[in-house]
Amino acid sequence: MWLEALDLVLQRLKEDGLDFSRVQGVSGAGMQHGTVFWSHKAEELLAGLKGDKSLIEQLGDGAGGEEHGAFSHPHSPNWQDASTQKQCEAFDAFFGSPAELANVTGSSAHHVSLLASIPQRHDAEPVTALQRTSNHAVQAEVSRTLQEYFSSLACIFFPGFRLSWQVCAH
Amino acid sequence: MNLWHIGRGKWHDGLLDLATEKTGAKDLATKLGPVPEDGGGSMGKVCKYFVDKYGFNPDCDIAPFTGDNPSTILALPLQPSDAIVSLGTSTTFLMATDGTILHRLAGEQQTDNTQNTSRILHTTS
Repeated sequence: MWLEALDLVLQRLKEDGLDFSRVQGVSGAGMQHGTVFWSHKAEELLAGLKGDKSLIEQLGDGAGGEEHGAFSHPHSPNWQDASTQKQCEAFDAFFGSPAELANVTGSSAHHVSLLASIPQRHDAEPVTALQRTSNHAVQAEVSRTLQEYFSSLACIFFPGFRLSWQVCAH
Repeated sequence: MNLWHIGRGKWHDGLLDLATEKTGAKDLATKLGPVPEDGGGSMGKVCKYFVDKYGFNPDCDIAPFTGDNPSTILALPLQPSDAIVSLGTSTTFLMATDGTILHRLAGEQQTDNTQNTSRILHTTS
């Protein structure tokens, strides 16, 4: 859906006559409280995007020989998913109260969070309790994956990389 | 939920340990990567896909994207005690405060957004 939507809006703007060569910068905003799960092929697939095919052809199901291409999970759970309730309670209790957690990090615990998919390798570390109790993470069999907030997703498609991937490559 | 220590400008070691049950905090921090705190900076240039397919200028900069609520509150000239009610998929009440005041309403988890955006506004002003 994300891939098709981005191509669709850009295609319609092109058909309407927008001269993209005059665009000096792109930014955006969107709902934050939702997650997208990257697969371990995401970095490679994003770096190899070709203009003669669509995003979904190159990042979607089957791309790179992966079941879900650049993604490790077919769905994008949003804030209505409550499968990480126990982790939320652990975070709210970490500093003694949700208020203090908010003081330190700017936010008390939310169901959909960075915790839903902790990067793990199949061969090394044991599956954490977070993954045991997070249905989405278990289904995804997360392997070196990381999840992204909805609002950050397009910011990765446009440059074709994620900031930490770029730094790690050096 | 955040793992970022706003006051120190870095990932919070204790929360990374909590998130990974002390089995991979360093690995997680590496994958989360550095956080550009300048919301107006450039993340890089647009990639070749968009240049070839849509005719973007290769020099087109990509600035950080953000959440809808932080962008709403930053885009409007909100004065102290002003408030915004946003009716959407997650109905929110946005207000600028001098600090974080956490008040959770029963069944309204999105209420925390108010504090979150207020804090962002507060720390970047």
